[in-house]
Amino acid sequence: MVTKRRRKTSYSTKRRKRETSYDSIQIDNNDKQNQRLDPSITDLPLDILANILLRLSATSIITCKRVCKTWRDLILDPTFAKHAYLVVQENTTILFRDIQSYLIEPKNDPDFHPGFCHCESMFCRPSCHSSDINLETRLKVPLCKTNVMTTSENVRKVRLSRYSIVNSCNGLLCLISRQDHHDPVVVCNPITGEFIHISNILPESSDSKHVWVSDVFGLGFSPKNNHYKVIRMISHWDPDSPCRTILEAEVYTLGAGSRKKVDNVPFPALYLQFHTYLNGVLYWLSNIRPTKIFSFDLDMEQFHLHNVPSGCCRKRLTMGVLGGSLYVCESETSDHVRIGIWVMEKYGDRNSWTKLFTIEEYGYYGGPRDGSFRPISYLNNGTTLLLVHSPSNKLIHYHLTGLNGVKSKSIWICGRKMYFQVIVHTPSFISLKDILMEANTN
Amino acid sequence: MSSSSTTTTTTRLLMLKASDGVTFEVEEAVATKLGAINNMVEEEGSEDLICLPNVNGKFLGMVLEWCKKHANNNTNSDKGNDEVNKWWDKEFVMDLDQNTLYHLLMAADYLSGTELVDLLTEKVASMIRGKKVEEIRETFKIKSDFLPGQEEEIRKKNSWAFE
Repeated sequence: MVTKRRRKTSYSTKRRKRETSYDSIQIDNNDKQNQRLDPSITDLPLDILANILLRLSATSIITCKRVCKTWRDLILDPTFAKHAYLVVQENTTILFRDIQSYLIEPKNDPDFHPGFCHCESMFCRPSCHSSDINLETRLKVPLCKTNVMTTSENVRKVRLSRYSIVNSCNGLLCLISRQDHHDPVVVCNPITGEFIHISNILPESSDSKHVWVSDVFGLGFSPKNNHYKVIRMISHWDPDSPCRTILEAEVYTLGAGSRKKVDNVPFPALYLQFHTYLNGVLYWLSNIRPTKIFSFDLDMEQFHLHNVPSGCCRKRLTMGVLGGSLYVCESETSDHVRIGIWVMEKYGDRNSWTKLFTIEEYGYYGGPRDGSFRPISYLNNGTTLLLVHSPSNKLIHYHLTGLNGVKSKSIWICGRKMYFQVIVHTPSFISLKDILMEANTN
Repeated sequence: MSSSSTTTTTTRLLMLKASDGVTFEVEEAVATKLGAINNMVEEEGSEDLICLPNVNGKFLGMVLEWCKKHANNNTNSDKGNDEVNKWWDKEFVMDLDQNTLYHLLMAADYLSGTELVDLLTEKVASMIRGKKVEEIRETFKIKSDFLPGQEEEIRKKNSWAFE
């Protein structure tokens, strides 16, 4: 018998050092049932369990939080939350709000099959439900019935249905109440159910000297400082010259609790629409002539003015983010519908406006004769475009086909609500408390 | 000179020894699909008897079977290989019971078989998707260890998720 001399190597029984560790999570092993002789999925090490949960959609992760303590603690772990945000971010999640709020995850949702509507027209009749989304089965976000965490740690009940959504930024929502002039702004993470009030940061309206004309808010993230900031712009009548308005702006930094006045507001904060956050900059569109885009750089804390694309007819413009770029969309409706979309490929460079495509549709039946279209997001790997039409409040699911050409194939309509909001919102498990504490220690 | 291979390519063989003493003789190209083995071969040379005290022979065998399929399919430069691998992966995980899944995951993770870990975690994830809390507990035989008050608290906080 030949025994070949082999060096014997033993692979260390010690587990390798990992990039992500969930060592801080205590697993309660007092329960001896956990240590069964035939272990199963639940006995897997936390990093493998995290690998499994990170493959799920946000709605599934929320469900898993209630399965057992170990799963809950893992999902609440900041490391996991950060990873989950990066994963969830890759898919479009839409927040739909009427009286209730719903999160819709079109790509991850196995129930979501827009299917093909056999209507020949672009705007199918209300009776056509062949490809409707059934909102009743969707996740509801607790904007209507949740405790509000105030800056002073007082917890009080607030009927959040009074609040409307200003904008979404990195999983946080900025909400505004037009009825509460003392605490008009709330920043919340609807997934963790945490809220913070941003109390009045500019002169009291009760001051007779300061009669408000309008105010505008926005929530943004400053990548340089790792800070979330709420900007507020206010115009009020000049007490010395009644025909003039005074413009002021103030920035509130979340967590740090600091406020700072910003000078040189280059425009009246009037008629600013389509609050949009993208890559450290907040944008608004002013639809009064001449139409301009206003932006606020959250790192530099500076305002800028931008021109809209020169080629666009400036009719019924809307603005937002599409495919990671700022877009401007014009709508013309006469005997037919024409929707033109431009994107700003390079921030601040007006020469970088590029016409993305035009949707033209003739011979629609019973469709909107007027109004504007606002693209919400691409869906299904960019093969379809979700648009909202106002004032009819119709959601339109538009199939983009062909290489350059654009053709409509189907549409769904989510019922006729008197009032609703639709925005892209990436759900985040990152606790608002952690964000505030981090900002505080910086 | 125990085995002089007749094939033209010199395929080195590695000896892997599982925790229960079962040994496997596998081609280096197959075993090095596992990151841990690959590291050892690079560090120590390939003449070794590699002891794997954390893996039982049954599951080491299954892991190696998976490696073998993938190594073989990758050597052909056919474009349909991805499809073949996908099809084969599907077959591989289809009827795994949870106990086997657990042990395979532990083995694949321990041996740094990243692709296999991905395949198996995806399999578990597919068992969770679209299920309600109770259904997930039932699937994995998890007993709720929340105190009655705690569960109610989470339910309240996230009531919208469980309607």
